[in-house]
Amino acid sequence: MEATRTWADIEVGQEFPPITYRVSPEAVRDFESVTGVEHPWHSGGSPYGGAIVPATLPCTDYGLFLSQILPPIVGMHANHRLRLIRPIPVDSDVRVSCRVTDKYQKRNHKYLTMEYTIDDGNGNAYMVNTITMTVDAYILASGVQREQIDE
Amino acid sequence: MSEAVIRKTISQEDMNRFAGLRGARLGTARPAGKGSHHTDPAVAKEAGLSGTVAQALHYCAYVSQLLLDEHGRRWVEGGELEIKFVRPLYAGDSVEVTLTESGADHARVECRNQDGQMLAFGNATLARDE
Repeated sequence: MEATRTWADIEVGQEFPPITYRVSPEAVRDFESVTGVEHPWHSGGSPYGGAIVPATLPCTDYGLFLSQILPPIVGMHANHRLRLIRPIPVDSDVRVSCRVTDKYQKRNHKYLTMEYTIDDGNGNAYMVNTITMTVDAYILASGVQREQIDE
Repeated sequence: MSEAVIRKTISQEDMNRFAGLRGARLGTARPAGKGSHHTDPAVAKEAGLSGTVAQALHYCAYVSQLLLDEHGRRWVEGGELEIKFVRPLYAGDSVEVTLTESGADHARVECRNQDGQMLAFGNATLARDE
């Protein structure tokens, strides 16, 4: 069996080095194309003086950090809390900061909670996300390895 | 009580493209090898699922779309969403997202599949009008 990091190795309270990236107009167009959502404010003419990023576009950013502590997982999204503070201008840099806030076992699943904040790089937050997901299995080169459930 | 609805069908191709968005945005790509339970039916089967499942954040885009359409700045500038996911959406399924006003600053969110089964539910809180 391959040696791999698992849910048991995760430390609650772990903080990750922030990641910065630019949300380009192409990224917004790709998101709209894939999901089918569209709004005039996403391409310009918003009350904010320019185009704004679809609110849920950065919500998948937890994956940037999850991949640092676990191999690819099979898991289900259980809960999500999204707090929007102000919209992200299109074609701006954002910084994502993340920490592990909880992990627990309930019934036949192991859960992991991560909180991640997206800001402008100067501490001015755009949004705060809290995701809770199940960690059910790991996708390894040798196959899918189920997480062990404690009796 | 006002109600707004979006209905979408999410195909495997849609799910594959959604899974690739973050990598495209950041100029990174998933390491070569197996896919995920979102993109690879073999992985989903091996994990005990009956098929590939859509990422919940895929259809959360429609929740946000409704909130933006209905409430504009009150959503993007101080809005909050809390949502619980109770059932997976499989490739080729349809999702119906319903937003129902529940007071001046709150809305109930429900996401159901084509059989009327609840996929997710929650509440949105809107910023107060200045």
